[in-house]
Amino acid sequence: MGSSPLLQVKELSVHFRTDRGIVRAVERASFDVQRGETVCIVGESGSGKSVTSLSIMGLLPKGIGEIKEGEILLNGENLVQKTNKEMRRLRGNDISMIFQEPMTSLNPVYTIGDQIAESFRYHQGIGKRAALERAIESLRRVGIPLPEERAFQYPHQLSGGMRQRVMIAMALTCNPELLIADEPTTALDVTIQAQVLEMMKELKEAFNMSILFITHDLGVVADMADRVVVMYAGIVVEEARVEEIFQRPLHPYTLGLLEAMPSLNSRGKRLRTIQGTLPNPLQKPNGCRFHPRCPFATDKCRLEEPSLENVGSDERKVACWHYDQLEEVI
Amino acid sequence: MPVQIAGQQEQSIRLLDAESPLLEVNDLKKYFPLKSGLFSRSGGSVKAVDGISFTVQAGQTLGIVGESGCGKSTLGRNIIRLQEPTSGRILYNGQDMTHLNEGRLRHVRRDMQIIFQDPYASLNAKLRISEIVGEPLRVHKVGSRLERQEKIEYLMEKVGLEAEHLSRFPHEFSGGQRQRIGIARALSLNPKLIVCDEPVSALDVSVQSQVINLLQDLQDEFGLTYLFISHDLSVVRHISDRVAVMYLGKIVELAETEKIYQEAAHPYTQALLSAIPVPDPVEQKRRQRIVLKGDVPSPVHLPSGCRFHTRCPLATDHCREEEPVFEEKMEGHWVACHYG
Repeated sequence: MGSSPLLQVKELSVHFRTDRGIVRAVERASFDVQRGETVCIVGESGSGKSVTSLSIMGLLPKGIGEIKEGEILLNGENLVQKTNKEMRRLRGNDISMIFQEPMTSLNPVYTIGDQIAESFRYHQGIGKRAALERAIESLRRVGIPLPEERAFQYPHQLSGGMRQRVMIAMALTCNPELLIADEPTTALDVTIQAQVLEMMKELKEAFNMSILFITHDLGVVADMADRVVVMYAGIVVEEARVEEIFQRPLHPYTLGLLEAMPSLNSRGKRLRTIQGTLPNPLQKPNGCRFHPRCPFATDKCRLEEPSLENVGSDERKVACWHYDQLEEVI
Repeated sequence: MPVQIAGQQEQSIRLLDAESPLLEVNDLKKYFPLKSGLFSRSGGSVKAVDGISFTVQAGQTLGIVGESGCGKSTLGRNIIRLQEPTSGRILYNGQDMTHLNEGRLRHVRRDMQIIFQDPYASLNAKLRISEIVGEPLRVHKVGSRLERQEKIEYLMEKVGLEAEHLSRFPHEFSGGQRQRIGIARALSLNPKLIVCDEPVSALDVSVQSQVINLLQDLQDEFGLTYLFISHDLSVVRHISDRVAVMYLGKIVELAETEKIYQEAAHPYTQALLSAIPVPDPVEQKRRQRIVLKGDVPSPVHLPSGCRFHTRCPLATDHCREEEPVFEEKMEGHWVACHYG
């Protein structure tokens, strides 16, 4: 295990072309994922969290989304400069991704066994029968009961939780070093979500892989993350170890999110809110993107954009002019 | 059996509260027939709501929680009779809603409104906000044109929107603002009971808390009674006075909110609570999670005996054979479990 990170995202900027203008979906985002680590990217709609993950996978929609600047280094190799063919080989082998709605990622006219087997055949060049056996084995590993029978069923015959397990089985066929999970449990019921999260933790240990977990759910973050990256309106506003984020948030947005959630003690009281609404992606505020909603905002925040700076250690970063005031509040 | 349940419940209400409830639901059932085959022979039915009884006092909030397919939305829709119940009784202010003719129903319905989950699908995209909020007033022929206009402006202010928004169309608003518009529309006829069907589930966290606060402020100001349907147990805990937990068309547990969250008696409630990830990494690592096996069974082929037995860690042969009665195990704490 070397000391260099598995994944390094450096100053990544991604633009989207829309009918109404250019959307700067991600702006100068930087973060690392170490080997064997789970990093959660948290954010609301329009935060750029999903676009960041699609950029890493090389799956930005052609002619619409484009990486404008920055580097994405996997094991030191810059993915931004790879050809489509090189990326195709990388996806599945080194990085895999699972999505929120497994039904849209599975092919409805092939059995799930065939779909997983195809991945084994493509990436490992093994025969049809051997691939199917491996597929059944991988279904067993993600906790699908009676995998010998399930392998011959079609996606519509499975429940949402089962489909997500199939997606995970498929993503893990080639022991990827990095699994990107984009809201993988958001469409699932809580009891099923609990099953899938537990399984992901076990598989992470078993495969010794890293997970980049995209979510809006702070409960899931607390459960899964080693480290947390908070995004707002395309910007990384804070980064820290998971305990730090929850106990000592330094960005007013992170604090606002934590306080806005109903909790044990909130019953009968008003919830704390973040005033205002999420910014229009076509007309983001100048200066700090969060200033129109921030209780700490000053003239400096309206004019100058804060950059993501280390606070104390390398593991603690925040993009705010007034984070020291938050330290006092908490 | 249903008669007995209803009887018990009426008794308990008298004990708890001298006043009669605003809403009383007795053994409500809603079955959706399944069509099969070329000649549409009946192929059984989906028992979406299968014998549900509860009461709600005026000014209170009853939270209804459960996972997808448990029948919670169907329940809400049957109560305000957007769908016709298969059987059972719904008493509103002591008046039997289930046997009203169209005219009377329309009159009573002014008292009952619904707020939907999807603020993008529940507003007519071709109407201006003033028309959307004013439509119930127009349909029910309330007041003059001028009075209606004043009422609409008053409602907009109450839900935190500007009067200048009235001439705009739904697509010009964010999700949270649209939900406010839906709330203004629901309030237009001065209802007493509002069914809130997942009203904040589609909203971002930072906006969700604004809408929850708004719902609570309006309840305080207008004395509203809420039936708050949600899969989000944290939100339900925050807003509800009492909570009913549903599983496969039945209520498995009903009690005051803190009783449910701190002394859950039904194994399903316990599992559901332990499955919510708590936003505290230290607590999350410490606590023991009950991970339920398997999926929710199909409501077409319900398990025998207790519906939960296929996933229940405590299930015995008794549970497989006999369905437990929904009964008051402790004062005000109703449970349907042989062992809970």
